[in-house]
Parts: sequence; C-alpha cells; structure tokens
Amino acid sequence: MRNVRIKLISFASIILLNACSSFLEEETLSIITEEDFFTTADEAENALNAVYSNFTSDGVYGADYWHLVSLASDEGVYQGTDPNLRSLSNFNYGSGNDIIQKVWNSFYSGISACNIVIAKVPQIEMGVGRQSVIMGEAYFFRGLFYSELYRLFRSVPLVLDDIFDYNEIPNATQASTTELIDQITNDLNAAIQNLPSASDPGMPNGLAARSILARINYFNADYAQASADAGAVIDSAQHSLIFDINNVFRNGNESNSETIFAVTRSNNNAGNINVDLLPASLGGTGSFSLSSTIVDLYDSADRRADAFIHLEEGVNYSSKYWDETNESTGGQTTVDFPLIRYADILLMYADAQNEINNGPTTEAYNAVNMVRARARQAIVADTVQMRAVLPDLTGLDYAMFKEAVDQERRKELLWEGNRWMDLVRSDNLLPAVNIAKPFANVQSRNLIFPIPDDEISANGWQQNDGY
Amino acid sequence: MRRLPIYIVFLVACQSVFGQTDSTSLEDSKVSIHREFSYTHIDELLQGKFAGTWVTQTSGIGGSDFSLRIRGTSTMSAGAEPLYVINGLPFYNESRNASSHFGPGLDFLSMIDPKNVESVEVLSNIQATALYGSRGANGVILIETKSGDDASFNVEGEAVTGVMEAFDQPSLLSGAQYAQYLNEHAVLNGLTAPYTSPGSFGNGRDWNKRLYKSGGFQNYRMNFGGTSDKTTYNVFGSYLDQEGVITNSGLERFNLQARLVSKSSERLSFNSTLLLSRQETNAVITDNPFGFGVVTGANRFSPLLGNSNILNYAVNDAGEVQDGSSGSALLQSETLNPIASSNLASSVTKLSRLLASTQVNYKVSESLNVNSVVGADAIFAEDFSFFSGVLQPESASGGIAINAKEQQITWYNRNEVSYSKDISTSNQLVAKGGIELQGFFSEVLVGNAFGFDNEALGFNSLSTGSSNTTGSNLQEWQLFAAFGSVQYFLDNAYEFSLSVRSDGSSRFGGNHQLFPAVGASVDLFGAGLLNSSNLISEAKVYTGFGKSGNQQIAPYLTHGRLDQQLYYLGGNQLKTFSPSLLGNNDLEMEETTQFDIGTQLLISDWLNVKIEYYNKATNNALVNLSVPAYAGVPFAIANVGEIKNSGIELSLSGSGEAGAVTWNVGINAAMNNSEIGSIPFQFTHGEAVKGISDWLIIKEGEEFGSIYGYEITGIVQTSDDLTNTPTLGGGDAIPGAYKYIDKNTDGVIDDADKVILGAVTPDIVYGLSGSVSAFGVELQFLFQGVTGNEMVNFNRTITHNLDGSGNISADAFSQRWTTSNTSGSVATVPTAEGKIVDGSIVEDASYMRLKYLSIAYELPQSLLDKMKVSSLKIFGSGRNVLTITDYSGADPEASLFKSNASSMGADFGGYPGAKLWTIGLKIGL
Repeated sequence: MRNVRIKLISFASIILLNACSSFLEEETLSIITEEDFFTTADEAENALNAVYSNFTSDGVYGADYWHLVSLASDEGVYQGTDPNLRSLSNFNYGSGNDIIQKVWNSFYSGISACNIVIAKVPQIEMGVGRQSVIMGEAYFFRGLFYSELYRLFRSVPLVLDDIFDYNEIPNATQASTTELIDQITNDLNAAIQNLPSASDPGMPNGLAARSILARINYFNADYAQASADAGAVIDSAQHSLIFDINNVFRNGNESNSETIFAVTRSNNNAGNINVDLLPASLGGTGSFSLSSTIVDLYDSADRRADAFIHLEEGVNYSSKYWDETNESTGGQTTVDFPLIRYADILLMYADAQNEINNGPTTEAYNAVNMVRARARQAIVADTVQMRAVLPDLTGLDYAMFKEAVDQERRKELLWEGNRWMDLVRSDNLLPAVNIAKPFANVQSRNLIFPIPDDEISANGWQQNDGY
Repeated sequence: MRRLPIYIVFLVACQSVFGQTDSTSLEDSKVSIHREFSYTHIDELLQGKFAGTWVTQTSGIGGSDFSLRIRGTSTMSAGAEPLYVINGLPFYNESRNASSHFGPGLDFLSMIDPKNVESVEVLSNIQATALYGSRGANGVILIETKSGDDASFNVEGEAVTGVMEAFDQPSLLSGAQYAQYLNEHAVLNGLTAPYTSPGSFGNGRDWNKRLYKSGGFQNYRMNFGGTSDKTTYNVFGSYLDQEGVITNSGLERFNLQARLVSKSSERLSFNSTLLLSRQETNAVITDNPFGFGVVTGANRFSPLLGNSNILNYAVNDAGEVQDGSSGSALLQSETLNPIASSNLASSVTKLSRLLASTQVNYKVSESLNVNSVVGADAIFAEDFSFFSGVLQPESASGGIAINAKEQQITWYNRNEVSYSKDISTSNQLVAKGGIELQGFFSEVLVGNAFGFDNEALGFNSLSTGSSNTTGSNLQEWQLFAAFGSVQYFLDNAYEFSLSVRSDGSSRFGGNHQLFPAVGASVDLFGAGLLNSSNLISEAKVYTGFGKSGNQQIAPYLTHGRLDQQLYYLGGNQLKTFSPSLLGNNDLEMEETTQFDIGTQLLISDWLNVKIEYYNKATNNALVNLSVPAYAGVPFAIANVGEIKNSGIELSLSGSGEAGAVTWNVGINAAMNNSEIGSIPFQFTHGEAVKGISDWLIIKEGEEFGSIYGYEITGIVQTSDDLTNTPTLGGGDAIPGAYKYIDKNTDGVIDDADKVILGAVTPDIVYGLSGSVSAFGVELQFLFQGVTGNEMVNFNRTITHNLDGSGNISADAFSQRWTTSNTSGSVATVPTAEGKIVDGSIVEDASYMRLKYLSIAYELPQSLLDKMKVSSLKIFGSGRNVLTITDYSGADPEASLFKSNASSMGADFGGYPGAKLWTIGLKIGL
C-alpha cells in the first residue's frame, strides 16, 4: 500500500513537471519576433522600408544634421536660447551636445536597418531582380551613412551584424580609418553592381552610389579617385544643370535632372529645417542667420543671392529651402533636400582636376564655368533673364583656380552641408571661422566632432582629442 | 497582562492566506482602521499608519493611482508597488494608464470599497515576504474583507455626505499686474509697452476661480451578516458618488461584496468571497506631460482674456464657446482655454470587476491539514474620450474620439499541505509544502475616429467621424511556484524557521529561481534571559535573513520584437518593420537579499514599542539601460544594476483610561537610506515633462531618485563681467538671467556642469494617529508626513518663467530681478527656463499633514433601546484638513507619473488634491 502511494505521488509529480514546462512557455500573442519574420517578398520590402523610415524630420538628414554642419562652420550664426545650438554656433560644444548625439544615433539607427536587410533578404525566396535592387539600396545607404559618420567623427565603430537581442550586441571597438574607407567603398561598389542606372525620386541608383564615392574620396583628398568617380558621373550624361537654380529648391523639383539623390519630403513627412532658418514673417523663428562673410561673397546680381538669401531688418536668413506653399505651417517644408546634385559633382571634378594636374585643365574650366554660367540665368515673373555677372574663368594658375573653386562651392552649395567638410579637407576651419565669427571659440579639436557622452560611457571608448 | 504574540509575522502571513481561524494575530503588523474617516481607497488605510510604508495620494480625482513604497524602492525599472493579497488572492495594483482617457492613470484597487475591509496587514520582514518568492521584494499587503459576525443576525447602514474643495493654486497676477508685467517685458525686449494704463484692468479674469468648484460627496453603505447553523455570512453593498472639483470630472462606484464561511463538518470548511464592482470615472484633461491640461491652462491663461475691450470674448460664463470664437481666446502658448477644454474635452472610464475565490480546508487528522485556494479576478475596462474640433480651430481635422475596451482575467490556484506535531508539551514542529499557479490574460481593442463634422454623438458613434483607426493587443503570463517551510517552536520561547520557494515565470523564460529564508525569534522572558521587571513586562527579539524577488515587468521582454511603422516616401505610404525592442534571453527575476532584526517590548503594561532594522540589496536589478547606438534601438533591459536600502523603523502604540476618558495613540517613523550600488555606467531617467526629460540620475553611491540639473548661484548683475560669466552654451551673459555653477570651470555651462539637486525619495516617513473618547464622543486624528525629499515642480516652468508667454505667480513677479531690485531672485530674462532642470524648479517637498480628523457621537444605550436600534452614531470628518509645508505648489503629495518608479517626484498640472468635509450617520439594527 505504501509503495502504491509513493508511485502515485511520483507519477503525479512527473505529470506536474511536464505540464509545468509548457505552462511557463511564453506565447508571443501580439508581438512579432525575428523568428516570425523575413520569409516573404513583402517582408523583404518591409525591412528595406525600415531603412527609409529613418529619413524623418528629426532623423537621418533631418534639421539636426543641417544645423550641425552649418552652424559649426563659417556659414551660420545662432541667436536663439537653445544651449545646444548656441554651443555649436559658438564652438563651445562638448560631448554632451544633444544635436551631436541625435545625429550619431540616427545614422546608426539607419545602419542597423541596412544590416538587417543585408543579413536577412538573401535568405528570402523572391524574384531575383527585385532582391538584387533591395540589396543594392541597403548597400548604398550603409555606405552613405558610414561615410557621414566617418566624416563627422572619423574613427567610429564598424558594426555590420543584424541585432535582435541584447546578447547579440557586439562589443565593438573604434575601427581604423582604413577599415572604414574599405567598408564604405565596398558597400558603394556593391550598390553600383546591384542598382539600376536610373531610379524613382528618393531612391538611389548606381550613379548616386558613384557620386557618394566621389564625395568621400574628395573629402579624403584622394583627388585622382575623386576625379575618376566624378568624371564617370559626368560622362554618363544622365544629369545636367537646370536653367534656373531657384527651381532646384522649390516644390515640384522632385525629379529634375540636376538632383542625383534627394531626401524626399511631402505633406506626410515634412521637413522642419525652415523652422529655425526663416524669420517670423516667413513662418519660422528667425533664430538662425547667415554670417556676413558668406553674404558678402555674392555679387548682388548673382541669381543665387536672391534665391538663397532673405534680407529682413538688417539680418540675412537662409531662404534656400523656403517652401512658399507651406509658409503658414510654421516653417514646415515639403521641398526635397538634394543630398548630392550635379553642381557639386562638377565643382568636385574641377577641383580634383586642378589638384592632380597642378593647374586647371580645359575640363576643369568647363565644369566650373557651367556652374557660373547657370548662376547668371534666372526666370523671374515668367521672363528669362541673362545677368551680366560672373564671367567665365580663364587664365588662372593652380592656386588662383583652387581659390576660385572654393568660393564657387561656398556660394553654390550654401547650407547644403558641404562647408564644414570642405573646411576640414582643406584644413581651413580655424582661419575661416575666426574671420566669419570672431566671437567663436574655434580650436583644432573642432576638426572632428566629439563622440557623444552616452556612447563613451556605454562602451569605454577613446574620446576624440580635445574633448 | 497582555501577551505579546509569539509567532513571527511569517506565520500570520500563511494563516491569513489559508484562512485558518485559530491563529494568534500579531496585532501590530495589522493596521487599525478608523471607521469614521472618509476613506475611499484601500491604500488610504495605510497612509501614516505603518512604519516604513510611504503612501502618496498623487491626485485628487477619485479612482486615481496611489503610490506606495515599503522600505524604499528596491528596483529601478520593474514595478515598485507591493503585492496585494485580497482574501487569499494575489493581485498587483497595476495602473490603467491614460493612453485612451484623459486625466491621471486609474488603478484597479480603487474599485474595492475600503469600508468593507476587516483588516489590512503589511508584510515587510523577509521571513514573511520570502514566502511570496518572486513577488515579495516590494512587500506584501494582506487584505481581508468582513466575514460576518458571530451574532445571529445584524444589519448596519451608513450614510455620509460632504463637500470637496480643491487645494489652492499659487496666486497669480491680477489683470492690472499682468498688463504691467507685459509692459515691462516688452520694454526689456526693445519693444514698446502695449498697455498705456495697466491699472485699468483691475483684477482681470481669475481663471482658477472659474475652473474649480465645490464637489459633492456621497457615500452610502449597508451590510448585513451573521451566523446561522454552520455558516457565517456577510453581504455588503455600497455606493459612492464623488463629484470632482472641476466640471465634468468625478467618480461613481457601486460595490457588492459577499463572504461566506461554512464549516460543513469538523474537518471540512469553505471560505468564499464574491466581489462585484462597477466604477465610472469622468475626467477632463489634466496630468498631461505636454502641459496641455486645464490646470496648466488656468495658471497660464491671460487674466486680460475675457475682457471684451481687449480680445474677442470667446467663452461665455457657462464655459460654452460662442460662435465666431477666435483662436487667441482658445489657445495661448500651446495651452487650451481651461474652461472651454473642461467642457469640450472629456472622457469616461467604466470599470467592472468580478472577483471570486474559495478556500477549502480539510483536516485530514489532528496533525495533517490540506488547504486549497481557487480564485479568479476579471476586470473589464472601457474608455470613451472625445476632444472637440472646436478646440483646434486651426486644424482641419475636426473632433477626435477614442473608444477602448479591455478585459483582464486572472486565475489562481494554491494548494498546501501542512503538518504539525507536538514533540512535547513545549516543543512543536510545523512543516508545510505546496504549489501555487497563476495565469493572466488580457485583450485590448482600441478604436479612434477623427474628423467629426457633426459632434452631437461624440464618442458614442465612432462611425460619425470621417476616418477611423483600430488597434488591438493581447498579453498573457503565467507563474508557477513550489514552496516548503519548517518551523520549530522550542520551550515556548524560541522559534526557528526555514523556508524555501522556487518560482518560475513565463515573463522570464520559465526558468526557476530559489528564494530561501531563515528566521529566529526569542521571547526573552520565556527563555529566562530577562527576569520580569516592573518596567518591561514582555520582550521579544527576532531576526531573519533571506531572499525575495520581483518579476513585475511587462510580458515578452525576453523576446526581441519588430514593430510596424508607416513612412511616406513622396506621397507613397510605406509599411516598415524593424526592431523596436531588443530581446534578452538571459533576463532573471530580481533577487533582493534582506536582513532584518527587531525587538518588541511591552513597557509598563501599556506602551508597545517596536524597533526594527533592515538592510535590503538587489544586485541583479533590471535596468532599462541605453545600449550603443549601433544596436539599432536605444534601450535594452538587463540585470545589471544594484540598489540598496537600509533603515530603521520605530513604532510606539499605547492606550489608557483616565476616569471617563479613554485614549489610544500610535506613532510610527521610519528612516530609509537608499543607495545605488555598482552599475556599469551612470544614466539619467525620467519621462518627458513639457519636453524636459531625464531629470533624474542613477549614479553609483547616490540616492535612488536623485534630481539632476543645473545649480543656480544667483542672477547676473549689470556690474558683472558679462563676457566672462559662463552661460548656457556660451556667449555673453545678460543681466537679469540666472547664473549657474560652472562645475568644470571651462567657461561654458553645459551637460558636464549638471549636479545633483536633491532627491525625490524622503529620508523619513512618519505618522501619528489616535483617538480620545469620553461620554460617547470620540475624536480621532491622523497626522502624516515626510521629510528630506525634493520635488521637481515643473509648474514653475510656467508660473516662474518670465518669458511673457502667459500669466505668472504673484510671488515670482514680486521677487523678480530688475535694475532697481538687484536682490530679486527670479530671473527677468529667461534664457533656457522651461527647457532645462535647474534650481529654480527644484523645491523641498517635506510636509506634515493633518490627513484626517473626525468627531463622532455614539448615542447611549438607554436611548438606543427606546429607538429599538442596537447602535447609532453621528459623525463629522475632514480629510487633508491642514498642511504644513514650504512647498510652493498646490500639493506636496502630487506626482505626475503616479506609481512609476523611474519618474517619481514630478509635479505638473495634475488634477489637484482636495480637502473633503463630511458628516455621516451610522445605524446598526
């Protein structure tokens, strides 16, 4: 009898224990986990779309990015009360600056979405053509985002894994600049291989990847490579300068021939860059203005002066992205931001040619003069104007040509995020800022942005020098 | 001579759960209940009553969430509220957050009328809490409802009526002062003064006066009970109608509770509970972290508005917005007109609850007992909210309606076998073992509708809106535990106990963790260690050491999850799926190791003294830690934190008689010292208030709840070196702006200069309660307070921010800095006020409050006999009668994020606390 009882008890406990292990198993009723996903063609699209979803007004290439590279240069001056923006404008920023943190975070957020596509999409059974385009776009964006992190922060951690669990987070160290450049080049070359030569607005194609390659090589002063890449884009003959520069930055510009790759904005995904750039009369807060050195550079009849600069009560505002159709909505804009456009390619090409040949070539003159010629053209009140300014350049030596291209880049690419990069490349940041903003506390440390505090404390990395 | 109880708290805990009637109760772990106080929430029974229990009534609206901490906060990211056990059924008082209704979060405990509570007990010692395993670390509160009298039959009825008055808001500028302020502000900014004769505006419109009203209060209950044959029963019914102090807000609650205890034989007994509750809360927009609510609005709105010669008078006295209303009278600095808002944006939350449980006890033999508890708790919640399109004149989207439905079902089963054996007349062994299972399931369905051209039906008809969205969510969790314990009673003087419990939770991947505890106690007289003296007649020392846990996190956190977002590329809507949360397969339940030691003394036969010391350490605290940006999401949860709490608790209670006067008094005070232990890196936390987030810091060696921000040293004077005075972000200093401490002396004020400005958790929590009665008249009182805590008073980002965007406090105006009042302490030139946390919004929030006061008269027996009733009492009472504090806000108990442990100590635009005055009549038949 006693034995029977013991058997019964042990039998009961076995049932109990078995029941128990499944009893405590968590059924994820209304959440989607990694295991439930990445099996269909639609899910491949969803994963790619997640890369695009970083292009929000405060994400990748939102106002923060433009503010960062434009205020921390000789272009922009900030007069408002936000301590983060003030410190950028005054060159007092440190590793705790929120804007720097947000830019860092948003590029890595984009990279992580690319990593997931690159790891998961090849395993999905779907049409090969579309699969290749999806992969190409992910490679393009990863190369682009790492190129931005490289330019702003230099030695950043290189993470290529798809991460879904805390325990999968690698203990990444800061990569060497060579490793980063290799990865960026590989990614952009993979994009060139996978992507078609033409694409819809807002989506990259092979030429866009080539243009970003030109940009990163130009930044690294690898002029031979930059010239080859920019030359290839020019030779493709797929892009040209449109007649009036004013129309590059106006609504309806979405598919003009000058734009190589643009961040699209629409009513559902409006940009907020203008909130701070424009004066109250145009729907903004008016807390940003242009430094007088940049304003003084323009000839008053230069079409770019009236297209880019708005003078009000003695203050010059950047009205490049002014969206007349959305003026009442507080500076919101539905105008696309051209991330790289043909004028930039032409000017990089001219500069690179001058550098490798130790003086301007005919191609170099042609390239820069195309940009100057276009700045003479305007359409005002449906009337075509040809203005008698900015004569074609001719007969310049190496140094004079270099200076001329630099000035042209400043005028043409105002507030397009290039100025800080150009000053760092040419090592002119300190003198240029000291002239434009004598009150600024610019130092050699400002040639690189500080790695955000949170990242340093989370990882124990080396802070960039001087911060 | 009164005998001190011998059993340690632990035993009581079990016995309450098992419903045994032969237990010796440890009276001072039970809370005495003042029956004449106008309690409407069970947590109120605990406030100021039990040493080491910090109870905060965070809002004045009925049904809103309380915050309750026992012996500090032992967690950083998981729930910090204790476990409630209602008639043997465990339950977490999780708050129903305000995502689909206006006003503060509502809690489910508020659905149970405290008037039917027979006893409340707080378990905080490890011997007691370890028995609750993974749910014991925050303490345990045992609630027993009334189970009927031994009398054959009795009926009792009570009617209470009263009135509520909101606490005073800080006094603001009158119309004339406001016009003068705007004139000064304009001149300071190089503009011309807008008003030529500010004095002509007089008092202007007092928006606070218009917003708040007296709220009626009615509470009726009736219960009958008794014993017949083998059954003791009690049936309780009650109705509460608590009008709010703001139009369109209030609470209505119906309760029906029944308890049945039947002994079908000497061996078999049943104890059953049934509770039905229905509660409706009406809310207006308050407690809104963006500052959109009516309380903020009334503080901010211009006193000049409503004066017809200044601006279009859009809101009439009834609060109706009249035709042709202009945006300016509706909206000022992103704040809604409070009167229009309280009339045109409101929500109703309807909660229904059915709680049922049965305990079966079967005595197999004298020494062997089997006990089983089976229960279920079903909560149904519905939210209906409507935000009129009239309130957003500049938007084309029209009204917004939300209709949300939720059901939560919890079931519970616990089975236990206990064995007790008398080894000799003075030695006894008790052994217990059993299992516990609990499961939970919830379903949420939410519908939103936008664009109502016709608002007549509002939230009653979502289909009237021009576009709709829906959402749903399902969740479930399970818990399984096995436990066993042995107690040995030696020589009627010593007791030793050993217990172990193993818990597995689906939220943590089902892995089991052990929660062991040992305890010992000695009766010093019984053991012959002390000889009886005149002074001390009883003395006991007890100690315990062990582990309890916390598993109060949302389900599914071990799994990484992907969430859908919509993105627009050009005009095309894209669906995206990406990780929104990283999983963590290694998550563990938090384990808190605790040691405590205490003594209880009975002095001079009337004074009960209890002193306890405790030391708690959680070294695998769950931290919502920021991970490297390359991980793709900003946070992940992991067991990487350490948090320690230690403290001393003192309780004194006594009673006596002097002639016809009888009295009793209880005093308790507890000092808690919290400290963050080792942590991989410091981090800030705190949910965003008006765009300011991360106002608290977790830093090794610092107190939990430390406030982090900039310290003000004074005001920049005209005579200062303006170029070299450090400013936020750099640049020249401006006279009239705040001057901050430049901690790292780099000449710029930035993140690196933030310091700890205080802590939101109190150092000492105390209470004093008692009663005096004579000739049938009884006076009862309860004082309660905290010291050593600061509050981040975000209201001051409005009332003390002289940026010209709205009304300000009269004090701020009179203390403002000007060139002629250079000793003024309030900045006239706001630089970053309203965007940062600095000393100007951090305040000492210590207070002492006469929380309750009541006076009752019980009719003498001779009269009662004539009236043929068994008892009759009339009474009057007050709640929040008197408050002594230096805190400048309306209520030092306010807390915007309620019981949320990671965002404590923020005051901003919450539904105001209120004074309540009631009179009542209680009659027994």
